[in-house]
Amino acid sequence: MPLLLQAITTPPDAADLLDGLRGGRLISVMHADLVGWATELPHDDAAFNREDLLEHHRLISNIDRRVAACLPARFPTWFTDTEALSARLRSQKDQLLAQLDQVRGCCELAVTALWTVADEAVEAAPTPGTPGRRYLMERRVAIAGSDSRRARAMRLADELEQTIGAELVRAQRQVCPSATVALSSALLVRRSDSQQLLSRLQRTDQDVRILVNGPWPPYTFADVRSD
Amino acid sequence: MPERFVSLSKPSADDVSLLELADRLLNRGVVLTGEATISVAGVDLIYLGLNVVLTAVQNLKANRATAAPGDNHSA
Repeated sequence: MPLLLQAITTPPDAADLLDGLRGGRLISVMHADLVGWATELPHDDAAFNREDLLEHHRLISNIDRRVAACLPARFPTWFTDTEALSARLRSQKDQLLAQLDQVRGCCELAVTALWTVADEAVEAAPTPGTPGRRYLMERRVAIAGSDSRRARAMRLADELEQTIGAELVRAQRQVCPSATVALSSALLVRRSDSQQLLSRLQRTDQDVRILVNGPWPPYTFADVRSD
Repeated sequence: MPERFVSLSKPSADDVSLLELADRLLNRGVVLTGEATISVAGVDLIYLGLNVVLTAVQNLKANRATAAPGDNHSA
């Protein structure tokens, strides 16, 4: 039976049963101190929809609550059977264990800063000659934002990370990923700190509205790639 | 069913939450096997990502040709 991988974790604290995706059987494949969690799912049923995506997230979150460290799998990641999954755990054991150590006891907070005012540079952008060139220029400005906006977003990212201070384990940021978004940051923090950080980070400034989502399993920091 | 899109100029807080989550589920996490692909059939959240989840959109474009048609609508 094909397997849809949910996560690689440390061994669970308790051995209770969970349902897998679409009510399928959730199995765990162990190797050394690694556990691979996957749902038995016929490949024929694999026309995924939004509910499946969200169910995958809920399932990983449930698994995450039962273990000390969790590496979520990118959706969808298939294995042909348990032997294939077990073989991959064996071949990448050292890399996976090292990555699990880095996220042990941690969760991810997603910080998104939305511009609340229009970009003056975009509004006032000159529109040169041909329609094609004008379109490309406008797209470039709209996506990247003005230099001043990028600088503002960088300062904001620094400020938010300083706000967390020593409680911040790791961070990844995208500055001005789109015209409406100033900043998209992934913050790795201790689970025990996450709730109070949520309220500390969320606010509205004069030019940006800061939204904080999570705590989530450490998706962004499960950085393991094969081959 | 025709495709519908959320407003790209002012995404709501709920839109942002879904987009950020979808970005992580589809683009990040452990990749352990060469068989891993981004399946887009019916995953309408990707359409919401046009303005925010740029990498997801790139994946969408790369995979759109092989995706089955589905009901693509906003949340």
